[in-house]
Amino acid sequence: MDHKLTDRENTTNRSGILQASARSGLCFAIWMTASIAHEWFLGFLHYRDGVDLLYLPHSLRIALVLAFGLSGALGMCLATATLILLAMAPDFTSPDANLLSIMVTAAQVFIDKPSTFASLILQALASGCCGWLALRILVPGRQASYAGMLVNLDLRTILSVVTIASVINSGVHVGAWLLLDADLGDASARFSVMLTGDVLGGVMGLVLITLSTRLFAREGKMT
Amino acid sequence: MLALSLLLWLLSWHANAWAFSFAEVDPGVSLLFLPHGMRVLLSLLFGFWGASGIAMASLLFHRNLWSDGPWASMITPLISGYCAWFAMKISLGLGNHSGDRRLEKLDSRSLIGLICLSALINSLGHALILSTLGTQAAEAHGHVNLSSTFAAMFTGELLGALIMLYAPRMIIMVFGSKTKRGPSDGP
Repeated sequence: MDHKLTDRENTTNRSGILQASARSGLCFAIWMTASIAHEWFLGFLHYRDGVDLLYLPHSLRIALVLAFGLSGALGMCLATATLILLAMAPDFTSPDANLLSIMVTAAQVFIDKPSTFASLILQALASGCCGWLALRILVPGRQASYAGMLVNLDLRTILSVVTIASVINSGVHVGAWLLLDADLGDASARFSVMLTGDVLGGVMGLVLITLSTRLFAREGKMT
Repeated sequence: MLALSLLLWLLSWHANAWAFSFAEVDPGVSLLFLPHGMRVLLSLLFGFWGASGIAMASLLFHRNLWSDGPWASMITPLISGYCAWFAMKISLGLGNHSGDRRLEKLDSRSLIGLICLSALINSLGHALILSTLGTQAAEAHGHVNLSSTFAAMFTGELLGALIMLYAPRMIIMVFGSKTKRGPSDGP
């Protein structure tokens, strides 16, 4: 009997892990698509590399955590790390490039300069987890019902969560760039533009997402 | 209330200019602008009259800009004074109550939302006015790249207000918990 129960528990755990992985994979794909789409359509708003005056994907950092919880944050962390790795291997679009060559190039960069690896981890964590952290700070103890919040987001929640997430994200990003000893020139200007871009994009995007979810929910009820 | 908020605003503005002169990126634009917290606080406590006091004090600061662009010098102090009051009115629905009721209804989400929205209105308003009415004034005072100035102003106000309104709470939390534990309680 005990043996059977353990088997069932194992199956439940396995399906839970599979579901969480699928959710993370979905968030990975959404984040990659959103980042690339942002580059294409709003590339003219670039201030410097990785810094924009209006960064709409920032709203997804919160919306995906609201919809998928920690799995969403994990998916975005992985997607950010992948995007940074691709940026480190500038020849990945060439016909000779393959997965192995990209990985070798990235590994070489990490071996030559270990702080690059720390910087990548920091940037990926900040990008993926800032929304989750902001929600944990401002809406503690409601992790189980975050999904319901997406439909009922009010302006004060949007503004406050976006603000805290933006401060965490831009602060850690600039810290990570400084860790790289990158020639930032004007780190304070980068920080301020990134913070402003995150806040503007986050608020605009979340307002749009909330309005669309409400519209869909209303239409769903009507039918 | 009007005189008190005027005095407090002048005092906090000068104190910030003296203490954080190193954080000034453009003339009048700092990456750490603590008086924005005072602006939010005065608007919360005294409502319209608090905002009017800030607007009057800002008009006094802008007197040196009159020769550069009178319209810009007239409107920017109004934005500076009423941005927090306006943000309170439109977004949080706290404008019609008395000061005590406003503070009662305030939680951390409302306060951070209010700080963010008022900073956005103020910095966006300043950037728009300087780009349309006061281009000469903006150039004369170093605000040439208006998008960078807007970003720096917004960041300064946001961080300044967050620090001013939350630092005391953090200090109380840290030192309060140490005091409660007591030195003889052991590790």
